[in-house]
Amino acid sequence: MKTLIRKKMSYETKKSFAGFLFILPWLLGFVFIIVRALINSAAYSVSETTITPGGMKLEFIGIEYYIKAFRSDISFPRMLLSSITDLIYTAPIVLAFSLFIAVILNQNFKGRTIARAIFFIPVIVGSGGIILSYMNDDVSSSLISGSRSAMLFSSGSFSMTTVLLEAGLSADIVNIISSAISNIFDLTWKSGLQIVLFIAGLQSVSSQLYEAADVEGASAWEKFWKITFPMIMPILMVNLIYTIIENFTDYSNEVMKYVVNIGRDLDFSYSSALSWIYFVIIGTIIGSVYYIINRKITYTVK
Amino acid sequence: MNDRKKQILINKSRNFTVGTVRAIFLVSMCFIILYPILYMLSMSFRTVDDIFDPTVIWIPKNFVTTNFQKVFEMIDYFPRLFNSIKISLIATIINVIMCAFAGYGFARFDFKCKSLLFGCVLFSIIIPPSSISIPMYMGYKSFDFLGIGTLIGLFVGRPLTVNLLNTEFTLYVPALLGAGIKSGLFIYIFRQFFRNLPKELEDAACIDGCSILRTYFGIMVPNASASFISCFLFSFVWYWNDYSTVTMYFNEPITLSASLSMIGTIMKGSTYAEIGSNPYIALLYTQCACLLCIIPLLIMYVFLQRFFTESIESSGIVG
Repeated sequence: MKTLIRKKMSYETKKSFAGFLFILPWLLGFVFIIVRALINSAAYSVSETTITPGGMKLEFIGIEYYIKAFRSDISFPRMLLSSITDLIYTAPIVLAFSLFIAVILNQNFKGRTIARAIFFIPVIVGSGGIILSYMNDDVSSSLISGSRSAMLFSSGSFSMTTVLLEAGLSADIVNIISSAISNIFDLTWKSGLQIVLFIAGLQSVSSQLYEAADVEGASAWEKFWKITFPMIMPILMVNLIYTIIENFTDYSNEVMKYVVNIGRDLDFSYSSALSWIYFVIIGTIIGSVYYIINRKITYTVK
Repeated sequence: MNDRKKQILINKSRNFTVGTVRAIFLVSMCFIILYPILYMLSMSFRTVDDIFDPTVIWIPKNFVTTNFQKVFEMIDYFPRLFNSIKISLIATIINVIMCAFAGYGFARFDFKCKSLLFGCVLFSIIIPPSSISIPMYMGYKSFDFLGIGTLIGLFVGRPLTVNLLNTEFTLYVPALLGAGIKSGLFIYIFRQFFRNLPKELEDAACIDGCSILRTYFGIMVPNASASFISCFLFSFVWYWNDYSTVTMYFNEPITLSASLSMIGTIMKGSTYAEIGSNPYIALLYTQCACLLCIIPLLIMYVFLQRFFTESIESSGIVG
């Protein structure tokens, strides 16, 4: 009896040791690359850094830079606030929009594969040089006025806005129209991956539920809100968190550009302090979103 | 009889209207998405005069291909294309394999502090890259093999370090250690997938006498091919499009995306001053360069499009 029990224990430990070995590369990377860099960054943020030929010299000065970020820096708190409010506006709109498109793309119609293929293009192309070369490049941004969406209305010397103005519409309406259209442009290019995730989620809802609802005589509106929407809540949460992360760590984000520019000016301590403040704020927002929504969603039993 | 015919007619017309509205909506959306690409195509074949010509909207009057040659030499296209492909491919392969290991470990085994460590995985996704880029730069400047170099240094008197900057190992080493681009996300995807596989598979393998490694390579990996494919494709695209790590760790932009991000500074340089000074001409060459940098990805996408959209559904991220 005793030998049997001993054998079972050693198998368990053997398995748990094997599991540990599987995650060992990741663990090494996490501790030695990421955690070490985070500790270094925290060290920079609380000390005065000077660059000597041998490396970096640090003198501990306490949380002076953190206080400086909020008291004497004029642009940082404003940018932080605008970044957060920007998120509160864009995240629900992006999610609603991509859900809408995903519902449409989930239906059966001719040319569905082509439509899906085209909607995925922003993910392939969008995260790269195009955005940068449109946004940051002085040369093209002076022409396109800093926003690639304005291109829809002016290419060289042909400008839709002038056409609309000449046609007699008032300047206010033309403004509204052009800003609405440029918003759709930005929205579509930002919601590439969300659309794909939603399509995948919609397909995982079993069709038996819909058939049962049809038998009971539910309308399409009721079917959406009572069946589709609750069943895709887990995907919705994954999407929401991904949207928040992407919004905050995207390179075209204001705060990120500010931090990177300060780092380029070799003021490492201040840049590190700013990054840490930003990071803590992002972490709190994401954590609170996760906990709030986790209470409300219903997980289906597999 | 009449009633039924009327009902059929109403149904048909309703389907027709819904179909038409949907078609119009989708076509306009697709136009919005394809617009920049079409714009780039149109601009790349124009001469400088065509930019100022108000009658030219999409189709240029003089169809020229000389812009491409200029851009080839401006951003040193072919060697950098080769670099992009090589770096993205190798880094992606390493990244996906290592993330699969970690995902399997988290999914199927129990060890101490497992949830805490998985929390660390999720934590690593939300770290903004700029917080740790400067310390990582310093770390690569004197890379000491995860602390072994300093240990040896205690004996030898001088730590054993290697300067990894300007080599591609700055990209391969983090991928090898699970800290590549969005690795946390891939570990999460793999863990979700392996969790959804039935435990009976593993038990059957164990009864048949498979060691743990053999179970992994022989059974788990073939089942997870959808996850592997989708993570591979995403990782390849993200590594290809990533210009920040390359511009930080290399003296010269050796990949296409990095060169594209620096095209403003290239055009301000002395050799291309006549281009950089005129914003319209600069726009022309910028568009042409963008097109050339996107074309490889688009070609790959055309061939592998099916795998992108289909594999996400079966990869288990939504399970």
